[in-house]
Amino acid sequence: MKNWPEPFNLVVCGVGGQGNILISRIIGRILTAQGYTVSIGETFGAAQRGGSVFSSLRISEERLYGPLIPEGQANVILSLEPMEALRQMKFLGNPQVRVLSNTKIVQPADVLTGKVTYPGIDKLKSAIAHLSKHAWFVPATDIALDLGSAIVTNIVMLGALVGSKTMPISLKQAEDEVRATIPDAQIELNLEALNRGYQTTLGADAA
Amino acid sequence: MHKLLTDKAGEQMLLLGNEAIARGAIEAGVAFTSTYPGTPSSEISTSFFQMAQESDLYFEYSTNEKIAMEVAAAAANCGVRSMCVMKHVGVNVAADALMTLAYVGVKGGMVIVSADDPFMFSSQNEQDNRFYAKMSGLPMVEPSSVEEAKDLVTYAFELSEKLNEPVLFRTTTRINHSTGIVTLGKIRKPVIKGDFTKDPLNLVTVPAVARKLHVKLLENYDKALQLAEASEYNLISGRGKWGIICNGVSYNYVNDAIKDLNLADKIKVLRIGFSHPLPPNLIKKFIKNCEKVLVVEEGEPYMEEAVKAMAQEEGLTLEIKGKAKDLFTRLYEYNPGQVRQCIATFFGLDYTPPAAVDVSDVPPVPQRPPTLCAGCSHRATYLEVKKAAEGMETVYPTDIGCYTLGLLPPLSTADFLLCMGSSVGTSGGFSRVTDKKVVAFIGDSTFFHSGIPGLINGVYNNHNFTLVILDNGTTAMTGHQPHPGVDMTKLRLEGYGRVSIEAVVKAIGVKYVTVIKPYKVKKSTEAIKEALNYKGVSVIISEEPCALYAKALKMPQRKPFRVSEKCKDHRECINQMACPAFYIWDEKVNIDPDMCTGCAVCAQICPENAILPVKETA
Repeated sequence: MKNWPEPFNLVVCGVGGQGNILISRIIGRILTAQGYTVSIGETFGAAQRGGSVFSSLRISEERLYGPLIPEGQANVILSLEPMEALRQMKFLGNPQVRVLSNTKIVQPADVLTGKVTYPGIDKLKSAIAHLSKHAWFVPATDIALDLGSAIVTNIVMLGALVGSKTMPISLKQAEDEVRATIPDAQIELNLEALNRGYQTTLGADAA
Repeated sequence: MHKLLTDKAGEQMLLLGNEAIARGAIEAGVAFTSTYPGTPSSEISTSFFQMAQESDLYFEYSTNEKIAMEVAAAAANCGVRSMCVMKHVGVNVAADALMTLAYVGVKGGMVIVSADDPFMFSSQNEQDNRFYAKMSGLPMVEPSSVEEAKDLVTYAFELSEKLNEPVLFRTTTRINHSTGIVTLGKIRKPVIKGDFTKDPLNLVTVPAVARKLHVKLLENYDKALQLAEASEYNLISGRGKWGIICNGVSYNYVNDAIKDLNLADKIKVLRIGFSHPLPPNLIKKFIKNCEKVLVVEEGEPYMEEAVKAMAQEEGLTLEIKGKAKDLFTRLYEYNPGQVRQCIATFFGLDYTPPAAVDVSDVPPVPQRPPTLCAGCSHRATYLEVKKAAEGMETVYPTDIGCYTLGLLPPLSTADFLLCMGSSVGTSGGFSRVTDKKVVAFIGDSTFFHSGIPGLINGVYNNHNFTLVILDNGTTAMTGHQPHPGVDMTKLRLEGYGRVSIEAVVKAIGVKYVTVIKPYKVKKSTEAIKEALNYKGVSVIISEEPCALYAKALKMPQRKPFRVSEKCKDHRECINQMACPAFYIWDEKVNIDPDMCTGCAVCAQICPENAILPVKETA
């Protein structure tokens, strides 16, 4: 990949049910159409609902890579929940990693019942910024709710990824793939979500 | 048209491993398919289910894996290409059929998919099903990538027809649930109808026939050996004095490590894709030219032990290792870093793993285990059983499904679990040897799968327990597959029968049967109390559709609830239920209206009646 690491390793993570699989597949298809060899490893199944989930994408111009990213070798982490970004950074992170994270927190059961403490969004943000080369914090759930449904949070984050220019994906390519993937009745909402996410990072200074 | 039915050879598609396997079966002209759903195999059969609705393909969700194997075995004995799909522990259920099917064999190709789950992402054990190949004497193949998974299916069907016996197709979660690029091949036109020719002296396994068939199985084994020796799926790459023998997904990690460690001119690799029977001549030839050999295989030392035995036969004394204290473990799935480290250790390479991220200044990250969904009816039933059993000493045998998550606090309603159906069987034992009240939980699909014999046993042997059947109208955990209790017309599918759980329970002879609607807390709790006080076998059927499934089917949705100013912060709601729709903000309990399904269970346990429906906005 000219100007991109070889292979390029992307992590898409979040809480089971937030739609990380859908966006990792959309990204995978966009890159496949450009001729890259893509391999995606996933954790999923209804049995993962509410739990930590992640997809690893390995993108290459040369050959097929195994579906899992070796420790410390993520290039970009795209997270639908801030604590999940930090969880992945601990194993896959490195000083050069770029991170895009939703700011909406999701409290695990042990946090609700007071057994453990959630780190808090400010602490999370500074830890993520401290451990990364660049970090973008996107109020993706707020934007999605503003558009009418939290369900498009993942597509807002996809837009943010495209706007950050951290990967070889253009807005046009993302729009085309969203059109091809999403059922007709939802396309407009999703395109709007994509564009709103795109605007949040386009030309924005990273933290 | 279903994307996997696309008849455009040469086209490239990004597919999930399981979709690639289903596509491979279509390309091989499969006509008859069956399954009992189980992660990580489920999407193979979901694809078949969808395709069967728009093609000549026959597909069924069978009651359990044994039945799935039996229906497919019969089809294959009529000359029809068949595939049955299950997770690794499903093969245990089907093993009775499998061991003798190996003797009887097949006429048309038959492929049995065993989806193993190293690390137990969604399973109760991580058994290595390569030993089923060894035990049954049947051939086994294993892919290393998504694309290869597709092509290997056609190979497996051809192999099956060459040997006239079923072929085991073993995957691991990391192949089933990986996504990769696949080049579509030609679709072979399926032969839908077969014919059965009577041949009892070869097909009815009375002892005299079975003695003859075992001889045939061993002859077939020798033929399979020859095919394994020549198989293009046992492939050698690279050159050098050091050898690595590997299989499955590990092949990718080995290749990654060879690149990372610059070992391309030092190591040659034998990748085993046809893993039973292992090809002795190929392996012996490979290791003869090596100074030392490392075996990289997740799970048990299946290949390692065989390779060591082959070396002994050849009088070779080179070092062969795999599972060892300082090398590979039998535990869990492998990862690229682990494989790289073990290769460096075994071959004595100077290697420092990348520095770990310095997390000294970083806040600890709490664990996030999976939970029951917001509005899950299981949570309501558990809450009510606990209320009804207050003051009683209880044992809660549980079963396989989403509801096993009742294990976690604050619900804590799972005490013992072995396998599908074990909640009912173990209840008999617990109630005989303790004086505790035994309350068992089983899902609707699991009840059909293997709960019924246990319940018959309870009635016959006059055990004393309460069985709660959690009937959410679907096989929820594996992605909402139907089961015999489902009204298929609601899925707009004709031609199915329907079995009533209540009628089955009554027909078995259970004297105390009651049906509850778990969102009605008070009424349900009282009904459960009565059932718990019954001496003998009592059954409670808790009926409420899976909240996620109801949403997917566009069933009428209830209004979400909110915490009003009347809240005095008792936190009964959170401490008893921990529904994920709750969140704490500014030290107060809130409900996320986007997650709340309006089940109103929390509203019924709030001591201040402070939880109210969200008002319509003007």
